Amino acid sequence: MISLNGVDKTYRGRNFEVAALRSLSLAVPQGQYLSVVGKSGSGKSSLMKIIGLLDFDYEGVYELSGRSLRGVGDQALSQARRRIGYVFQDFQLVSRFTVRRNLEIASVIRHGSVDAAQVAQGLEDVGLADKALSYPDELSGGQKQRVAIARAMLGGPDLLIADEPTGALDGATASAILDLLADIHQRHDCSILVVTHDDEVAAAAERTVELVAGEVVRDVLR
Amino acid sequence: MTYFAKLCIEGLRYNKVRSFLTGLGVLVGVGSVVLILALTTSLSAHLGNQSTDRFTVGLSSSAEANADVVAALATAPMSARVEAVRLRPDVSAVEVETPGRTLSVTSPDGSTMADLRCAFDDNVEVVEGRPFSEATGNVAIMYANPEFRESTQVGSVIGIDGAAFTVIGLTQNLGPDGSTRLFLPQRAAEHVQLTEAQASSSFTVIVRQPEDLAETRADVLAQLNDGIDASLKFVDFSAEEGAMLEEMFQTLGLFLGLIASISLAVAALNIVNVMYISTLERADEIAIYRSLGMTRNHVRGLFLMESLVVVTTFALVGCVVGYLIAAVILTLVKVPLAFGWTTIGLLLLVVLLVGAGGGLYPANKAAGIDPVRLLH
Ligand SMILES: Nc1ncnc2c1ncn2[C@@H]1O[C@H](COP(=O)(O)OP(=O)(O)OP(=O)(O)O)[C@@H](O)[C@H]1O
Ligand SMILES: [Mg+2]
Repeated sequence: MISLNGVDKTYRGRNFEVAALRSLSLAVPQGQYLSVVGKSGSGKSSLMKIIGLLDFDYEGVYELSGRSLRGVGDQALSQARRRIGYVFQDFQLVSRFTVRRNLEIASVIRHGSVDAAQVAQGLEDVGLADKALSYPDELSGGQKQRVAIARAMLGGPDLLIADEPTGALDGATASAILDLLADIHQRHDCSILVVTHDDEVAAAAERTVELVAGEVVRDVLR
Repeated sequence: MTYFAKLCIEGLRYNKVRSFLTGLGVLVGVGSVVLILALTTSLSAHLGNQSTDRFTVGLSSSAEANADVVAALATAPMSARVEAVRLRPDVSAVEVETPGRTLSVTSPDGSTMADLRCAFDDNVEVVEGRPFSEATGNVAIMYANPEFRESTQVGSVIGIDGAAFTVIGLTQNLGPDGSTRLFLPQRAAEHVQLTEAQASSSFTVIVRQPEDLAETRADVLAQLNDGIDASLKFVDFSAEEGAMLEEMFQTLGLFLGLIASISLAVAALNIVNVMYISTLERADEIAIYRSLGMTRNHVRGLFLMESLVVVTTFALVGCVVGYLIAAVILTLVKVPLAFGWTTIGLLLLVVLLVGAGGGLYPANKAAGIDPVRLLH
């Protein structure tokens, strides 16, 4: 489903040049639960930006479901992004909207209208049906991340990308999020990519890839 | 689409105070434009309508015209012509200024005041000095003209027909025709000879049917100018007056409109500014929408709609407010409100274009926000 072939990513500025990814090749079949580990600055986020169709400034070939989306129009690109769910370290919920409103907006962007049943089911799945009318600021970190995951999973995407989903959470809360991801993996035929520093988080996935200075140095399938 | 509208309203509620203040700028701008337009058009329409049943014609002579011809025409033939106009079936009346009677007077400093309007009246009230009832002999009372304080004082002596008259008082009475400057006691009528003033060379024609005004005016002018000396010409004074007033109001309206337009332009700049700040502040939010798959065009549309909603609502309110203020002012000065709705429609169109133009830059900025900013 995901296939990267000799991908190079270099950040260039006026007085610096950083090679974030070096001729990286990686194949992830549909439905795989993959964790990406590595030290800070090893290129994990850079890889996720490319896989998640947020960055096209790279060399090499990247195909999602057999198709390269580099150079396509905004319409086609947006269409493709609707099949990807993103979960960010800092949750990125719209704080002036209620939990339900946050999900409804996602629903309307993805399907053109609000699918109320789907929104309710999504909240149910992350165990937050009773928080539908709360505002993000009224939730704990773990609850916010659940809302973010519910939003990402709305409409059943093909790919879930989570960059440090537990980075801002304590141990117990982080485990609960991991359980939720495992549950999603079991119930949906959706690939999951989790970026993490945490060995426990990494071990929860079927497969772990380790990056060092933009190169894959370890690839473990459990 | 309805959800799109909801998102737009939420965007405006994001900073209510700011949205409101931005809108207020638009309101003031549009309101003042409407107010000025309503006032100037109503006033000039009113002034134009005021003389719908009458017009003033008068004799206009070229500089080289013979003074004798003018004088001759201004007396006998003039009255004959006026009489002819008065008898027309489409004319209901002709108003000629009452000529009055005059006198030449030698003032104390030896200069001559020619054609001073004079009347015999024993009971004229004085504001300074004594009335005629308290004096005998050759006495006079003069109009207390502040401009001639030097020459016209109580006690000064003026010469009439070679005889000396003492000014015993000053009055503010202007006599029955409103232009009398010198009063003499009734008994002086025996030795002082007054001269008939020259007939006025202009008169006002009141027509029977106001709708025939233009036609009658043309006919009357043609009739008056028929067989007249080549150096003379009767012209329509009221038309010239009207044209002058109209021009004045147009200039005034243009000037005030310019000022109002500037406030409108400032309001437009304010929209650009506020929407731009809003874009910056909501960059993460926009990035989230983009990461969820909202297209650039939708983001642009969303922001453009926000600008337009603010502009349209407040512009409409501004129209109403400006219109109401104009109505109140015009009621106070008793002028009917005459204001075309097409003007308001046109204005709203302009304002909408201004709003769209002002919102375009920030909307494009918003559409350009890259969702990659969400990943570190
Ligand atoms: N926008 C950028 N401009 C310049 N250099 C960048 C940019 N983003 C990342 N880099 C550099 O690219 C390299 C890889 O960064 P990346 O964010 O992919 O690392 P990471 O593995 O996600 O690190 P962390 O665990 O700290 O999030 C780093 O050296 C970083 O400094
Ligand atoms: Mg990172």
